Amino acid sequence: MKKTRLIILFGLLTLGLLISACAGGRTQTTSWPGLTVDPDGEVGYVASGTQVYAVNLVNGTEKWRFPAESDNNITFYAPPALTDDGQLIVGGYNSLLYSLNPENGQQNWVWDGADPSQRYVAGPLADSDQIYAPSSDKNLYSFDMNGSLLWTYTTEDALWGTPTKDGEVVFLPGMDHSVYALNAQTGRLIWKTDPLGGSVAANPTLNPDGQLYVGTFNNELLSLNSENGQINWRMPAANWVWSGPTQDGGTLYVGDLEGNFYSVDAETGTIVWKIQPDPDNESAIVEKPLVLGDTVYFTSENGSLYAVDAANGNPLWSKEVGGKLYAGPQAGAETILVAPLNADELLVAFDPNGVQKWVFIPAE
Amino acid sequence: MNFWDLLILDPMINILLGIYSVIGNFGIAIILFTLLIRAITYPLTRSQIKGTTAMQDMQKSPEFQKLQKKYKDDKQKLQQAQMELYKEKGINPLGSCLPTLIQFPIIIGLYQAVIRALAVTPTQMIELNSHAYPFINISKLVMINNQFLWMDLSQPERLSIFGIDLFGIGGIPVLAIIVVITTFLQSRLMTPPSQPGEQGAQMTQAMNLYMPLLMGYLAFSFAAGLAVYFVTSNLATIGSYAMMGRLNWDNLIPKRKEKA
Repeated sequence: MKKTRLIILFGLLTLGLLISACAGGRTQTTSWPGLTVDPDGEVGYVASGTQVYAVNLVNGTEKWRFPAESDNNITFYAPPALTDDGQLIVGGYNSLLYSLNPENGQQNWVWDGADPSQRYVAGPLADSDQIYAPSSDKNLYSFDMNGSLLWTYTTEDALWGTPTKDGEVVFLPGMDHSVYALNAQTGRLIWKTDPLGGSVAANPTLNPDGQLYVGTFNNELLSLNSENGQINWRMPAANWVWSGPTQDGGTLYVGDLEGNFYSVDAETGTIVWKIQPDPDNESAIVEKPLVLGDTVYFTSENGSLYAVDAANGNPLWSKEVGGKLYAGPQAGAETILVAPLNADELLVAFDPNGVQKWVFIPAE
Repeated sequence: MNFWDLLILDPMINILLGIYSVIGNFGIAIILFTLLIRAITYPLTRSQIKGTTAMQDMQKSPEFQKLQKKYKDDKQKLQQAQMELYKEKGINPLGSCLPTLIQFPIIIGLYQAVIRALAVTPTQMIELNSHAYPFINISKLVMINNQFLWMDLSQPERLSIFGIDLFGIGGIPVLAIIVVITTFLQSRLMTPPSQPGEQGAQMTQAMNLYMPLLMGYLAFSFAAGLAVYFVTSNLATIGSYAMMGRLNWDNLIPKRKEKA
């Protein structure tokens, strides 16, 4: 009798473990590394998994990490933001917003007012006197530089995109299919678009002439009038346009989740050229590209960094980094930086010709 | 694209999304999806009941009793003779296990489908985009509303009453408790009457004890969407047995058993 019970107990425990393992557990990676480069281009801040790392971009060495000892209950993926008064603001998947000293990673303050069951997917926006932190709990929180809450604006769904600010107006992308314009000082609503047909997951790009560009899950890149939210033009894409575009003069550059990369006339929304570098796999192009001189750099889910001629999209070179490259490339210390997901390397630096300069692999 | 995604996961995700696009409530979509699964697997359930009944009848038959007496000192020969008898009568002794075994890939697939469909993080959202069939207008559907009654279907369920957290687990795991109760009820009500001391009866007793605890643990640990599936599935199973008049109330109410 006892033996039978033990066998059954063992069998069921094994079955439970098997189901837990097959179901994917609860510790799977939920986003890709968030990278921010300081204005001097000397230090990169990478939020990835259980820690935020400060990396010397000249030689790829670690300056500090936060927290010093990793804690599986605290994970970071949202790109940190540097404030003008010398703070590094980073939101965690534990729903806490931290202010760190960018020199040494020491904690200045922490804010715990967001819904604890939610998370900070988007990086905060910070300037000289205010911090704006969008949360998955549907709220945009505004703080002074000491972490005191100034106002809260509640939308109808999660917020995954960093807002864009133009003087007194904050433009907020929403997963509820709308874009909001809010008074930066008070949080009062100025306008809200009609539903755009799909979620807006990343931060809008603001043109100095007043056009606001957003990618949507409705397979479109849109130009909005920043004065009233009216749609100027729509550019159809083959799949979701996750990020806003990168603007260089009169041209916009953006990718879609089917692996197409577009050059678009910023004034009219006309496609100038379009390429699909990995047509067999249709690897998603998720985040904003980087434009340096006459070259556009973009990353792809297949783990490759591509460099193409900005004028016509002709390929210049590509480098297979490994893992998945959802995070867009960034410039720092005369290098192109990429932060792969599911790879040993947390940060890889290339020179503008595609020669690898260094890799940063966090020490255990 | 692997076979698991192609044959199990993608159809599940898209059926869930299809139901959600009509109903607009993901909790109800899971319930309807569960009932659909039960309807699809009903022929298996029916054959399980038939198989169990045939096995019971066989075990009461004089031929079976005779074999037990004949080989009472040689278990190996007894098993061999029993298997031959099953074969002769056209009974598959493992046939009644199939509907139970088929539950496990469904549980794993459903859990993955619920988590992927709810897509509460960026990588899950990108995965959802790649799993959705072209005729599902996924752009319009996301983000899926993950609230159902008091639950967030993407998180393990806890009911917080006035913010009281007695055991430091974030509230009362109401759904996990309901899963334990309904799994226990299902096990007891579906268990055929057996002679005390039989090895099969011992195994059944152990299963009746441990299975609800395993299911309760899974419901406690994983997203509430899975627990909604467990409860619906348990109630649907009890209902289908009741419709066929196969519920064994004597297992639940010992006094009635004594009278009988």
